Amino acid sequence: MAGMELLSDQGYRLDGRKATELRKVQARMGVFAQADGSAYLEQGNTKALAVVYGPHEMRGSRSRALHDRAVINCQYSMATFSTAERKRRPHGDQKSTEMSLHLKQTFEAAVMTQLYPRSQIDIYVKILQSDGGNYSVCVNAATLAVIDAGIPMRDYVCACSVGFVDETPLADLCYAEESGGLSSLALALLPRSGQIALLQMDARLHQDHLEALIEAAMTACKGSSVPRLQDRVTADDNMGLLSDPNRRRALINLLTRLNSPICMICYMAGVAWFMGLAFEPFTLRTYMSENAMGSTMVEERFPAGERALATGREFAAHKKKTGGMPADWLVRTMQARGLEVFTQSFSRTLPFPDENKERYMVKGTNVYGILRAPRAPRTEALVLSARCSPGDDNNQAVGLLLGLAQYFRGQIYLAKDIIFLVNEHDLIGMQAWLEGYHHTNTTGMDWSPLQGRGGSIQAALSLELSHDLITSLDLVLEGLNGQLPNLDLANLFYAFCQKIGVLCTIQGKLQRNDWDSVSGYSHAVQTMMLMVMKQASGRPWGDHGLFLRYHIEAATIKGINSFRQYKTDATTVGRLLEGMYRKLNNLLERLHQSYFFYLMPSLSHFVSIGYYMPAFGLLAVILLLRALDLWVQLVTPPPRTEDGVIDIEQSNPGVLSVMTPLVISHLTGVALYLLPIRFQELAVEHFPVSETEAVVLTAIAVYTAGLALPHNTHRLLSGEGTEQGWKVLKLVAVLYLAVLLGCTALINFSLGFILALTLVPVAAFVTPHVPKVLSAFVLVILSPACTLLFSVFFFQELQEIPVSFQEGWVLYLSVISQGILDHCLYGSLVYPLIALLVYPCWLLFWNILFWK
Amino acid sequence: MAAHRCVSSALLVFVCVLSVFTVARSQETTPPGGHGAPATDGPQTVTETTGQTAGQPAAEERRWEATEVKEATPDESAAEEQEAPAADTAAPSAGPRPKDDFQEELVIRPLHSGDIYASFQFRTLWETDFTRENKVSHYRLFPKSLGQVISKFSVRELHISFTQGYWRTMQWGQPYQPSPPGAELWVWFQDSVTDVDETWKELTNVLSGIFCASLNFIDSTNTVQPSASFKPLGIVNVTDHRFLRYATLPREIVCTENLTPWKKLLPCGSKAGLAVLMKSEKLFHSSFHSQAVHIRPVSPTSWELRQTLNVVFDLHTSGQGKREWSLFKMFSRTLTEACPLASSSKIYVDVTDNPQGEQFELSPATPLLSQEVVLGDRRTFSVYDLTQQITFGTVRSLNLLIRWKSSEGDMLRPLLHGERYVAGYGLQTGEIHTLMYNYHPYRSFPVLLLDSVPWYLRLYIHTLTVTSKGKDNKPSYIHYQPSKDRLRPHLLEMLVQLPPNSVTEVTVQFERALLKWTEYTPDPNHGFYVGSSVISSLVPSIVAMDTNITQERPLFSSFFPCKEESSYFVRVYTEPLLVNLPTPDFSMPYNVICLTCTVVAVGYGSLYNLLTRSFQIEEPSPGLAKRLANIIRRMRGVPPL
Repeated sequence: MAGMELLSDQGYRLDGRKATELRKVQARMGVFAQADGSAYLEQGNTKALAVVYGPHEMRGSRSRALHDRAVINCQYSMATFSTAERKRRPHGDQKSTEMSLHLKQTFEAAVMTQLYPRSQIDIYVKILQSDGGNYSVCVNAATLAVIDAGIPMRDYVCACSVGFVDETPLADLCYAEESGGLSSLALALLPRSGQIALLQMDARLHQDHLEALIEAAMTACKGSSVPRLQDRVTADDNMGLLSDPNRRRALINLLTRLNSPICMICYMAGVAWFMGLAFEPFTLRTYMSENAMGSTMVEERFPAGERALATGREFAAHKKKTGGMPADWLVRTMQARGLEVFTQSFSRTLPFPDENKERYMVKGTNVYGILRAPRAPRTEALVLSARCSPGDDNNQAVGLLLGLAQYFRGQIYLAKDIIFLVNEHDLIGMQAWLEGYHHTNTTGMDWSPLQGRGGSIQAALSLELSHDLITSLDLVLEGLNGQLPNLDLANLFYAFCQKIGVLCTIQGKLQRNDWDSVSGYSHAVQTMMLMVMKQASGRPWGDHGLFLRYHIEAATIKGINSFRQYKTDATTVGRLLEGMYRKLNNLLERLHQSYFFYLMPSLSHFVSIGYYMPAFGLLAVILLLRALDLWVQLVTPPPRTEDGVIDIEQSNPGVLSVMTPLVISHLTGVALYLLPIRFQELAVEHFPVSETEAVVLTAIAVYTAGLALPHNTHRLLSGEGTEQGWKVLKLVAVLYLAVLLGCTALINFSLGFILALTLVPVAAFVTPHVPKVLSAFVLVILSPACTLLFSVFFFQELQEIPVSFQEGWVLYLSVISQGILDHCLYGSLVYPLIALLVYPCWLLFWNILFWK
Repeated sequence: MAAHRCVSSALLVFVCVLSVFTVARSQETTPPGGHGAPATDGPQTVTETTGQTAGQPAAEERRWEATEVKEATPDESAAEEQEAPAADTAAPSAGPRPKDDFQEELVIRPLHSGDIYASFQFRTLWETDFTRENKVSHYRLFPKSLGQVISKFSVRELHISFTQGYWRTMQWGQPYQPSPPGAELWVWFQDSVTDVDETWKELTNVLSGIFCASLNFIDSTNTVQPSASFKPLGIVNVTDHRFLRYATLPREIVCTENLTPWKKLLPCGSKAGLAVLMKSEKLFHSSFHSQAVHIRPVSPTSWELRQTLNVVFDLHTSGQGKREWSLFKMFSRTLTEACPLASSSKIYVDVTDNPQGEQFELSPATPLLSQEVVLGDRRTFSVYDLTQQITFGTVRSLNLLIRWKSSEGDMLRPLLHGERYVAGYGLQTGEIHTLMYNYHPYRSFPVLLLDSVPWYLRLYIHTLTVTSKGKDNKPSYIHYQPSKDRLRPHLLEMLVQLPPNSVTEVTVQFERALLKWTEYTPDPNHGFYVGSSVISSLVPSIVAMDTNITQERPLFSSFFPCKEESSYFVRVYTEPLLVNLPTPDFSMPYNVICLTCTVVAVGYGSLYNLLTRSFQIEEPSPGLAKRLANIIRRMRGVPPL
C-alpha cells in the first residue's frame, strides 16, 4: 500500500465514512432562468453545475443531424479554481474531451433521443470544485438538469465511482482516495432496469475482483441517495425537500382510522380536566401581585358605624317620604359632609316591560358627591357606589357610604378624588351615570350631562348592605359579557377580610379546608360552577358590572345575614372599606399586574387562563379532527368500483347546496334576533298575553319554526342531497363552529365551554346516516335553547334552591326576557351571539341530519 | 410710616364718605338671600342705598388707607405696572434713589368653602441696564443666579410656576396668580437671540438646576409657540411669537426641594420677614400649593422679580372641627418683624364679606383699611403694616386670629370657568371635551383658548366642533399647528366668543398612537398626561363704579360708571388629562419567554434543520421471514440471502 492507510482497522475511511457510505448530497434545480434546464449538485466537496439547452435545431453544420434521433452534445470543463492548484484549463484538452465523450455516451443511452429527430441537445457540465468522483458527479448533475429541462429519459442515470482496497470495495471515492493509488472504477447505471450505461476503469485490477467491484458500484448507485433525491425532486417538483410525505400520510391515516376513539377520549379528557380544575392541589393560591397595594401597614380607624346606620335610617325615612330617590336630602347631606355634589337625571323606556322589577318607563336621578383630594390635579378618581332601591333594601349601604365620605373628608392621605355615588334604578342608573361620565351613548338612553368629574376612574366598588349586622361579606365579580375585574381586586378584598377578621364568601359559599374529602371537593366544584354559570350568562351580577366596559376594575361587596352566631357590625365593614380604599389610593398605575381571566373555586384559590384553556382546547380539537377526517374523505377519490357517473357528480360539489342552508339558517337567526321585539304589539293584539310574554313566546316560536324551515326549502331548491354535498356542508359547519366557539371562549370562557360541551358532540356524531328519530331527539336536547333550560335548573340546584319543573319553566321564560333586556339596556352580547351565530350553526347540523 | 400717614390724612375727608357708602353696599350684599346682588346691581340701586344709610354713624372710627399697592393682578396691563415703582420711589424721601427695592406682602382671604387662601408676594426691583454695560457684576437684592440667567440667555421675560393641586375656581373664586397643575414655563427672549430653540434648551436645563425641578424634560415635544395667548407683561411690547416659548410639565410633583431654592432667592431668605412663615411641612399640608417666579422689565433700566406663593389651607382637615384660624396654627410660626431690607411689608386680610364682624372675628383688630378692585370685584382689606412696631403690640409678635361665627354667605360666582375631560372608552379613539362657562348674565366676551396636545394623541382636527347653546359657534381666529411624531405637539389656539350665561363646548376627536417600546414611561399603565388648556380673556367687570376715579375726574365725564377699562384680564387653566394609551404587557416576562421560545423553536429550528439536514442511506432492514431464513441458512452453513 502507499503511505496512507485508506481503510482503518475499524473499517473507517479517511474522512470517517464506512466502506459503502456515500458522501453528503445536496442539490438544487432550476438555478438558471435562461437555460432550459439546470442543476447544481454537491457530493461531499465535489461541486458541479450542469446546464441543458434544447432540444433545439442543429446549430452549426446541419449535416451532423441525424434523421431518426437527436444528437447529444456534451461539454465538460473544470473551473480554474476547482483544484487545490489554480491553473488555466484550456478548452479541449485531452482529459476534458475524454470526459465529454463519456458523458455523451452515457446520455445517449439514457435520453429518449428518438423523440427528437434532427435536433440537438446540449449538455454543459462544469466542475466548480473537484474532490474526486468528477465523472459521477457530472453525470448526476447532468441528469438533474435534463430532468429540469423536461426531456424524457428511459430512466435517470446515476453514477458512482468505486475503489478497491484490502479486498474491500470503497464507494464514492474522494480525491485523497483516488490519488492514493488504488484501482478505481466509474459506473453509470439506469437503476430501474439495472442496465449499465457506462463502465470505465483506468487502472489494473485482478479479474476475480471485478465482479465484486461492479456489484458494489451498482449497490452504491442504487442505494445512493442520488436516485432518491431525484425521485423526490421529480415528485415534489423540487419544493418538498423539507417534509416527509410518507410520514405525513401515515399520521393522516392514523388520525382518520382512530378518529372516533380519539374524539371520545378528547371529550372525556376535556370534561375531566375541567372538573379537575376545582381540585385544590391543582389550583394556585391567590397572592397580591400589585406592589403598591402590598405590604404597607396601615391601621383602619373608621369609628362611625353606628352613626352611619343612623344616617341610613334617616335616608330610609326620606326615601319613604319622597317615594323614590330623596335627591334633595342627599345633596344637602353630602354637601354638609364637605363634598362637591352634583345630580344627574335620566330616563329610559324599556323595549318591553320588565316583569321581574316591574318597570317600563324609567325616570330617575343619580346623586354623586366628589371628595377632592388635597393637592391632586383631578386626574384620577375612585368610585364607591350604593344603589337606592325601593323598599328597605340597601339603606345601610347608603348610610355607610355617607359615613365613609365624612370620615375620608377629614383625612389627609388621599391622592385620588373619591366619588360617592348613589344611583337610582340600580343598573339603569349606573349605565346612565357611566355613559354621562364618559360622554358616550351606546344604548340610546336619555341623561343630562354631568357637571363634575374627577378624571379617569381607577377602580370602583359597589356596596350592598341591607342589615345592620351581617354574618359575612360576599364578593361579586362577574360583570357585563363575562368580564372580570383584575384578580388583585379580589385579592385585596380577601386580604382585608383576613386582616380584619370578617367572614368572606364568594358565590355565597364559605371556603372549606377539607379539600381532600369528597364533600370538600364537591363544594369547590359547586363554587366554581356557579361562577361559570354566572359568567356565561353575560349579564352584570351587580352594579359594578357596567364599569368593566370602561376598563375600570370594579366589584360588588354584598353583606349577607344568615342564622350564624358570628356577626359583624357596620364599623367593621367600614374599616374594611377604608382599608381597601387606602390601598387603592396608593395605586400608581391601574390594576394590571394580576390576572384578568380566571375562575375561582374559592376566595383563596384561583384557576388562571393557562390552566382552564386546555379543557376547552380538548373539546375544540374534536372539531378539528372531524374536519380533518371529512377533508380527507373529500379529497381522496373513492374506490374505483363505482361507475363514472358518480365520479362526475362528486367532482363538483355545488356551492349552491352549501350556500342555501347557510343563508337560510342565518336568516332564521336574524328573524330570531329581530322579530320578538318588533312583533310584540302584534302579538299582544292577537293573543291574550302581556308584552313580556309576547316577546318570549315569539322568540320560542321562531326558534321552533327554524327547525322545520331550512331542510325543507333546501330540498325544494337543489333536489336530493348528494353524499358529497352533506360532507362539504358538515365540513363548513364544523369549521364554523370551531371558529365561533374559539372566539367565544377567548372572550368569555364559561360561555364558550358550556356551548362546546353541548354542541361539540352534536357536531361530531351527526350524519344523514344515523337513526333519524333518536338523533333528532338528541339534537334537540343538545340545542342552545335546551342548554339554557338545563342551565337554569342546574343553577338553581347549585344555589341549593331546587325548583319544580313548573317553576323552572317560568324561570326559564324570565331568563330569556332578561337576556333580551340585558342586550337592549346594557349591550350584553349573549343574546345576539346565540341568535345570530350559534343557533344558525346548530341549524346547519340539523340540516345535515335531514339531508336525504 | 410717616408717608402713609401723610397720604391717609390727606385723603381722610373723602374716605369718610366712602366708608359710609361701602359699608352700606356690603350690608346690602351680605344677607344670605342676596346672592348675586352685586352682579345685577345698577348704579341707581347704589345711590338709593347710600341715601338710606347716609344718616347712620357707620364705622366712623375706622381709618381708611389709600394705598398705592396695585398688585394682586400681575396680568394686568403693563402700563399700570410702570406707574407703580415711580409712585413708590417718589414717596419716601427726596434723597438719592436706592438702586434696588424690596417689598413683601401677604394676602389672606377666608374662602366661602371654609378654606383659607394665603398669597405671598415678594417684589425685588433691580436698577440695571444690560444694553449699556454687558457685564453686570454687582448684585444687591436681586439674586445673582437669576441675574446671570437673564444676561446670559438674553431673556426678556421669564415666568415659571410650580403647582401642586388644582385651583377649584367654582369653590374658591379666581386666584390672584393662576397656574396649571405641575410646572409651567414661558419665556420671551430678546430679539437679538439667533437660535431661540437652542437657547431655550439651555435655559430649561439651567432653570432645572436652579429650582431642583425636572424642567430638563422640556424638549421640542412639549414646547409650543403660542401666537396670541401669552403676551409680554413687561414694558417692551414685542409680539413676534418666534421669541416666545411655552411649555408645561403636568406631571411635575412639587415638594420641599423646589421650595428651598425658591426661598433662597429672597433677600432675607427665610430668616426674617414674612418668609419665616414658610415652613414646608405646613405649606405642603394644604389643599393647593403654588409657587412662581416672574421676571420682567418694568422700565428700560429696571427689572422686576416677583416671587409669589399661593396656598389654600383646608380648615376641615386641619382644624379638627373648630372653625378657627390663626397664623400660628397654619404656619406654626408667628411674626415678630419685617424683613429689614424691605421697604414695605404688609399683611392684608380680606374682610369684604365681614364689614361688621358678623361672619368672623379678626384679632388683633387693625385700624387700617384698604380698598382695591381685584379681578373685577371691589374688595376691602384690613392692613397690618409690619414695619411699624405698634403692629406687634406688647407681646412683640403678631398672631392673626380669625374665628368664624357663622358659615353662611355666598360667594360671587366667578364669571369664567373651564373644564376638560376625555370622553369615550376603549384604547383606540377618544374625544377631548373642553367646556368654557360664561356666567356673566348679559355680556358676551371673547376668550382665547390654547390647547397643546402631545403628539401621541393624534387629533382629528376635522372633527373640531365648537358649540354653545346648542348652536355652532364659529371661532373668529384659529391657529393650528399639526404635530410631528416625536418632534412637536399639536398647538391649537382659538378665539371664541362666549355668549352670556352659557356653556361653550369644544370637542375634538383623537386616536391613541402606539408608542415604541422604549418610549413608554416606567409606569405606562398610569396613563399619559395632557397639559391643561389655557383660557385667557378680558372679562367684563361687574363693578359699577370706581370711587377713586370719580374724585380725580371732571364731573361731566364720570356720571355713568360703565367705561372701557371695566374689564379685567383672567387666565383660567383647565384640569390636565390622564389618557391611557394601548400598553403592552410589560409585567409578564413569562409571556415574553414563552413567545421567545416559540419563535426560536419554530423559526430558528426549522431554519437550522433546513440548513443542516443530511440525507442518510437507510439500511433496508430485512423482513422477519428473511431474517429467520438467514438464521436457518447460517446454521446450515449456506450463505445468507
